[in-house]
This record gives sequence, structure tokens and C-alpha cells, in this order.
Amino acid sequence: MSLRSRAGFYRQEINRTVWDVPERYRDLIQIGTGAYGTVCSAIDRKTGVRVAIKKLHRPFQSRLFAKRAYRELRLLKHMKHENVIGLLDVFTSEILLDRFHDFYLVMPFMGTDLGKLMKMERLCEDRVQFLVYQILRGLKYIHSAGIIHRDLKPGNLAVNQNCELKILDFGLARQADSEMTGYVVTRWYRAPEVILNWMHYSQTVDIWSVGCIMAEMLLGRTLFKGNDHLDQLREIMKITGTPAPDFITKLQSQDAKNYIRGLPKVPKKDLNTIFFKASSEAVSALELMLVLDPDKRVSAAEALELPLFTEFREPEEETEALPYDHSMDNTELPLDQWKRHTFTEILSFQPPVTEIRDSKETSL
Amino acid sequence: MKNTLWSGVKMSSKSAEWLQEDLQAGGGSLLLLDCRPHELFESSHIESAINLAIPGLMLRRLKKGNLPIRSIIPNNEDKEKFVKRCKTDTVLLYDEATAAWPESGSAGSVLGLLMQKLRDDGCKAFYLEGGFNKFQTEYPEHCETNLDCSCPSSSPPSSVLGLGGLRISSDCSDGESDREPGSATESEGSPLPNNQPAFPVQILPYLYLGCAKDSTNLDVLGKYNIKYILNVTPNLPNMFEHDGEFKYKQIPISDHWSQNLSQFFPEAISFIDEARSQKCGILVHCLAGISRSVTVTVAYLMQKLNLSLNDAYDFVKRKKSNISPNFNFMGQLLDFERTLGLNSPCDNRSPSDQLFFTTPTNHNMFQLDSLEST
Repeated sequence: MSLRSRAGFYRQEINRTVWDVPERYRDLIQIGTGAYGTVCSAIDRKTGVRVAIKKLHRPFQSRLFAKRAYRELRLLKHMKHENVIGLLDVFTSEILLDRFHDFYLVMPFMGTDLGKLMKMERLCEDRVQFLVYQILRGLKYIHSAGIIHRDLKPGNLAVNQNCELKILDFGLARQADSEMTGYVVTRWYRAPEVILNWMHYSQTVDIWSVGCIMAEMLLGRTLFKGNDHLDQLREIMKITGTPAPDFITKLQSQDAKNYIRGLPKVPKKDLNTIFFKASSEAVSALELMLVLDPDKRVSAAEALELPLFTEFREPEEETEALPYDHSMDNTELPLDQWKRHTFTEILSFQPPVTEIRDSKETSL
Repeated sequence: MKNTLWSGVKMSSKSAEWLQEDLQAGGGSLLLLDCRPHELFESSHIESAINLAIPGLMLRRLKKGNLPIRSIIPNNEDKEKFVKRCKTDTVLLYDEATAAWPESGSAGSVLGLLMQKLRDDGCKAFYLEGGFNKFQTEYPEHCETNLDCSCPSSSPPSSVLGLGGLRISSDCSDGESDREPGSATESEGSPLPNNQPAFPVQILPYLYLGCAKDSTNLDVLGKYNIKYILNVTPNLPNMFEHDGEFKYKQIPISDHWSQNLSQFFPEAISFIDEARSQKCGILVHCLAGISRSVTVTVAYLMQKLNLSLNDAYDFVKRKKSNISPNFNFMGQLLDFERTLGLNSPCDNRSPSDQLFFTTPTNHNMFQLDSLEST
């Protein structure tokens, strides 16, 4: 077990929060804070690049928090793909488990997110293609690991000024606590099966979100802007039409079935009339993504093969991940054990050497 | 590695001295392209240069020949400048330290690829000998450095990160109520609620709709004379159960598709009526005050005020905008409506009527007024 020397760390206070970080990270500036924790940008003097350092708020104040912190760390460690946020470093200034109470996650600094980008400028279809391609490449990787994101939205897609995109925010992926599912903040990008409380989601729940995001990039406005569950579904059905009988049959809840059957009939709208400025390839992609029935929706791997992306896709680079071991996610352990597991994961972290070199040299 | 792509083409370069003289003379017909990563460009670059950082994916597309160079220029102002001047000006590309082609390696390939592309397009393109490092060393007065600025001046102000930027994980804590923010905030993806209605929300003079936190707030409970508490969760405790001051009823239902909340409607409605007959306030709460407690409240209004599901739902939504019962609960309320013999919203509407919810009728309004004045 390697020892981490306190001498290599320095302490500073930023907005009344104490930061104990290694000497290599300098010029910390707070760039975000919220219920989850605080994020600073910093310069990594080893590589010369700017990074984002996230400090979690009291990760071990309860068993639930500790399990969540552990899960987030493991998910981030598992993700090694250029379109998915991953860890450059993770550290704690403490040597002993007894004194371990804070840890910090270091990730690439991305500058902005897709939501802000869409507010700043109207995206040309060329750029939309490029961004959607990256989302799907990242999703193929995530899904191949057996992970479903379930909360894709523009704010969870980090973009740097080179228009390189990374998928963020796995904190909600596969949450065991079903009570939390209904309280995810943003619902405009949520698939109909989530709104209808299906018991088992498939990975195409994320494809629906991609379709909504792509539509928003092309239109310049949110496609399905509901203000509650009912309104959200109504907005969706204005375009997809009311569901076919075989979709209603798949609903587990008889009550939900009755409710849907009672709705007035609406025909499906031709997407070409809504996206009249977009290319036929773009509209075809949306048609395959914004399908009510998740079983009929295109998968991420299939979407990458669509004509929209033919020009610049490289199938060899559309890689898959090693399976992610979910077994710990469904385990109930005491707080101390979650803490110990987290400590072990921090000590076993190995930095992505090749990733840094690749990004610096922009190799062919 | 032999670079066969350019073996037949003579590479043209400009020296640092040449560039210095041209900049000194005003650089009026010079188009400078910085091919280094964006962070390096931001920290320091030659004056008037445009950053042409290329993501790996775009580079491969450029290599295939499908991509015009203007597409990889990030901001529209630089893009426009490039389009207008690339055919008439001298285009000079630089990277970090290209000295000569045999030394270029993979980094030189990027610059070389761009050179080739530009020349194919009919531009007069050259590369800077020694790259940025040599030029900065010899002529620092022509370099703009932002090391001392916390906000680089070339970044547009709107790109400064707010709460939504680089959010890694939203934290929906089980121990705290998590209320959904208004729609304006939703588009930001911010985890912090904004413009929330005050909790608990008064639905009727004696009936309050709230969340878990309200049920533990003695000040609030006292303020509204709440003596009855209806807890629609399986796991949240009845905080003051042993004090004797409050009367509790717990309906152990999760916010899940498999739960049958409607079986508890009769006893819930009786419990609310008991509070009313005792002239006390009653708090109906679940975890977040969005789904289960709303469902019970709507059921009560339907039975007691003879409202259709549509009207009762709208009544609650006007008091508290962020309600959102899950769909199986809505289905159960629909069945409840039929049980009560109330008019179904679908039966009253022609297929062409797209509005699902309307304002209450005058008749219902009269009933509301008379009951609320009690």
C-alpha cells in the first residue's frame, strides 16, 4: 500500500471551503457549486492542461451518501472513452483510513456544456452531426458496459471549444432506490416509458433523450416542453401520435393502461414539416430515435451506422467497454465499509497515461 | 516514417524574423493560424492569430477530404475573417515547435495536413520555422499572454461557467425533500430549486399539501393549527407520534407503478374529514409533495367537492404548480372518478378538442366558494 505524503499537499480556502490538493494543481478557481459538491478549475503543472477538480460535500455523512460516493467513483474509474467523462486523478490528503473524510475527483476541464452552447449560438447542421455522433459513440460505450445513463440532457453534455463532447453525470445511473426515479429534475428529455413508470428500462431510454437533444439543436428550442408528467406526455403525443395498442399492452400498470386508453386520439406528425430546414438524413435519424415504443427505437450502435454519420465515422474507433460489475450497487453495507471500499478504490487508481499524451499530440 | 503524401511537394516556410518584420509593418495581409490546443492558445499566442485547434474526430474527417477548414474554426467572427481573407492573404501556420519536416513527427502531420489542404484550396500557405516557442523567445512583444488573468480576454463573457457548467452529479438526497424547480430553471439543469411555491401549500382552509420536511417542522404545524398528519410513505417516520399532540395516519405506499393507492382513498378521505369536523388543520405529505400526497388530495376534492378528475387536478395545480402524480396513480384517479359517477373528461369532449384540462365550471365555482367560506 502506497503512502501519500502530506508534504506533497498544500491547503487553501476557497469561498469558505478548505481544499487540500497536491502541489501539481495550481490556480484553483471555483466554477460551480451545489448540493452535490464544489468544482474548481485548476492548472495541472505536470501536463500543462486545465482540469476540473470536484470536491464532494461530506461524502461519508450517511450510509446513503457513502454508497453514492463509492458508486460515483467506481463508475468514473470504469469510464475510459474520449466521449465519456473519466478520471484523470483522484486523491485524498489523508494517509490513514481513520482520518479519511474527504476526497477529490480530477477530470478534464471542458469549458461549457451543450445547454449553454445552444444558448450562445445557433448550431449549423454540420456541427449538430458532429456533436450527435460523439454522443452516440459515448453512449455505445456506456451501454456496452451494461450502464444506462437515464438522465441525458444538454446540461450533462460537456463541450470544449474544439467542440469535443463528453457525457457527464453518472450519479443517477442505475439508482436502486426507485423512489428517486420520479424526482429527477429535468423531464423534457425523459423517455415516455420513464414518464409512464415502466419497471424495467432498456438502454434505448437514453436514445430518446438523444433524439430530443438533437431536435433541440436543429430547432433552437426544446421539442417537448411539458410542465408536469401529464403535460409532458401530451406534448410528446402531439408529435408521435397516441400510442398503438401493442405499446399500451406492454404497460405493466393496468391503471396507466386505462388512463392512456382514455386519451383523445392524435395522429402522428410528419417530422419533415417540423424540421423543414434539416437534411433528410437528419430527419430520418430523428424518426428512428423518437419512437414511443422502446423496443422499436434504434440502439446507439445501430444509430452510428445511419447515413447521417457516414462521412466521418470510423467504426474501429466506436469501441466498447468492459462490463461494469453492478453487484456492489445492490449491496447494503455499514457506513464504515463503504468508506473503506472508497479508500481502497482511491489507492488503486491508475492515471490514464495514454489519454493525456493522445490529447496533447492530437495524433492521427 | 516516410510521408508519401507530401514527398513530391516542396514545403515552404517563413522565419521568425520574417514574421516579426511583417507584424511590425502592420501585418495587414497576413492570416495567422495557431494549430496548438485551445488551452495553449488561451494562455499565450502571437498577436492577431486565429486558433485552429482540431479535435481528433475532425482531424480524421479533414484527412478524408470531406471537411472545409472553415468548419473547424470555433467562433463565427474568426470564421468569417478566415473565409474572407484566406485566398488573398498570406496564410502562416504555426504549432508549438516545428523546426523542419524531418523533426515534425505526429505533431507536424497536423500542421502539414492543414498546409496541404490550404494549398489545395488555392491559398498561399506557409509554416513558421521553430513554431511558437522560437517566436515567443525572440519576440515576446508580439505575443499576447494571459497567465495573470483569471478570465482570458479572448473568451466571450457568456462562456464563463455557471452552476450548470461541469456539473458532475446531482444529489437527490433521501433525507431531504427534493422539490422540482420551475420550468425556467429546468432548462439550465441546475440542481438548485428556484421560485418554488412556499411549503406547505393551502389547498382548502383546513387542508395543507406538503413534503417530508414540513411534517417535522413544529413552527409550521403550529402556525396552521395542524393537528392531523396524513403520511403517504412507507418509510418516513411520524416524528411526533408519542407526544400525543398530533393524530397520525400512515398510508404505506411507494411512488411506484405497482402500488395501489386508491384502496386507501376511503380511509384517507375519512381522516381528512375528521380533521375538518374537529376544526383542525391537516397536513397531507409524502416525500416531496409531488405525487402521492397530490393523488390523495385530488381524490378528496373529487369526492367532497364533486369535481371531475380534470377539475380537481386543475384546482390543485393552480395552488401548487409543480405537482406530477405518476401515471398509475392518474389511472387510479380515473377509476375513482367512474366510481363516484362523475363526468369523464373524455366523454365530454370531441376528438378535435386538444385541450385536456379546462377551468372549473360556474357550478363548481359556486360550490368551491360556499365550502371555502366554512
